[in-house]
Amino acid sequence: MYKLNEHNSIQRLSDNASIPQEPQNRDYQQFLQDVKVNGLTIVEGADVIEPDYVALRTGVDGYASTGEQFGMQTDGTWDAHIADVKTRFPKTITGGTTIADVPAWVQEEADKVELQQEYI
Amino acid sequence: MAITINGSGTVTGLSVGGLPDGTVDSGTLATDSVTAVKIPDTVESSLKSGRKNLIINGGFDVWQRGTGRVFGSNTYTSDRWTEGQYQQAGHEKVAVTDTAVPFKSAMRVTSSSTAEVSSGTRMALATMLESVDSERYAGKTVTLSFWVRFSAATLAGATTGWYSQLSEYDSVDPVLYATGATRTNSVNIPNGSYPTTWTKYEQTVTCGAGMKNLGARFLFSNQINTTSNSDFWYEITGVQLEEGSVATDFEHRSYGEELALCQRYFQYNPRVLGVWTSISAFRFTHSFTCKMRATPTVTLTGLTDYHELYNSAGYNGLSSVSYNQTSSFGADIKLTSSATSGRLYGDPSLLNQTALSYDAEL
Repeated sequence: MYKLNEHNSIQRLSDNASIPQEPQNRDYQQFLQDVKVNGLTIVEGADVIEPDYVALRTGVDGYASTGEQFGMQTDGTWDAHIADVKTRFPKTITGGTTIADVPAWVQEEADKVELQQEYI
Repeated sequence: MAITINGSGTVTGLSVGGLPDGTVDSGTLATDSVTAVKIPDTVESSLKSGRKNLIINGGFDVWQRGTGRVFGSNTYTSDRWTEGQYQQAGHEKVAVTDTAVPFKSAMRVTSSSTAEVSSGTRMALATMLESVDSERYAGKTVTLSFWVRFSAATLAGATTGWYSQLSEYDSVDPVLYATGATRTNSVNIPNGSYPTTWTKYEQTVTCGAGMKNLGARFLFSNQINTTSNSDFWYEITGVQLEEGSVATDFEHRSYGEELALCQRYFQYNPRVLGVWTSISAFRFTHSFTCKMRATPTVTLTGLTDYHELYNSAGYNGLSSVSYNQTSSFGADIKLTSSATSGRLYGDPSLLNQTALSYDAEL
């Protein structure tokens, strides 16, 4: 079983390996073989994540980095910064995750490969 | 014609073949009586020098993935060596103690109780060169040599013998042991004659004009399943593939050289600095030790002791590679932790060495 990740890298769920879209990579070649044999049922689309308030508060638009915090605590702006972040990202933002469709390139690339038979 | 020795010591009249085999030996010729300038150019050009062995890790000295016994199929064990597709076998490192054999390490291939696809195992050991190292030998003669010994002269079930094999592929860097190869079997040691002491063998093949990849493989010719794992074994080392029809002495390379050659196909991450991009994930980049053969597969190699933060005590719990823009030159990766670290966007992170493996094997 496989799952697509950000930037279309492929996660092999049996060992959590991350496989690139690289024609010369043997794991990618095997991925296409597996899709050709088993169909798209073995591939799950990428997660589409709606961030919750925790992720937003700790993300790029949230709390200042640890280094910046030292300065804020010195100049007295720290409390206002905390209040501002909490206002912009209230706890009512609970977020969620949905699964995207498997993009067309997966089947298209699998259709191109030649099936490898067992070698004796 | 009469043989004449004139007054100045010149000998004439000696016919071609006039000195029978064995009559001129090291005792006949004084030390340094034949100098380098007297070696004909036609002979000197055939002498081998430098980098003659096309096989990487033919002495089985490099085991980045670990030296313990691993059973599997199509998994790499010793660097550059695998069981090959469908062929179940156990692979492990063993020491060579026979002082008459010029090696310190060997690969032991053990029998398996696990069936392959067609209900048996040939206990295979395989490696393959990539195209950039193979194509120059198209149309030329190459010789494979190796040392091997078995656990017994007769092995129950291994009825039709054991052999070495050279494989040629007409496509660039195909799946390992893919269909469509031209394979030449040789050596063919019959059951009952398996050597139990280290013995050297060789096999010579003239490659096809269209050859793009060369591979070497060792295996039994029939499928075997043993009652339990490791009921019997063979050990192999000193694998050399060289141009020409003669197997010369093995080319020993230093461990550092051999490791560097292997890292084109497999390596671990160094200790590297990264940046937290969320409360549970951080991103980092680093260059590889050398340019890898292809963009590698990235695998978490354990689930604890993965990374540290400011605190020197470390922090565990990375769970997946959630973002991967790695190329053959270097890694560009985001790792996600299953635990909430409490770190903020922009905070630094530190990834321990060997937390990730990069695999670009054929």
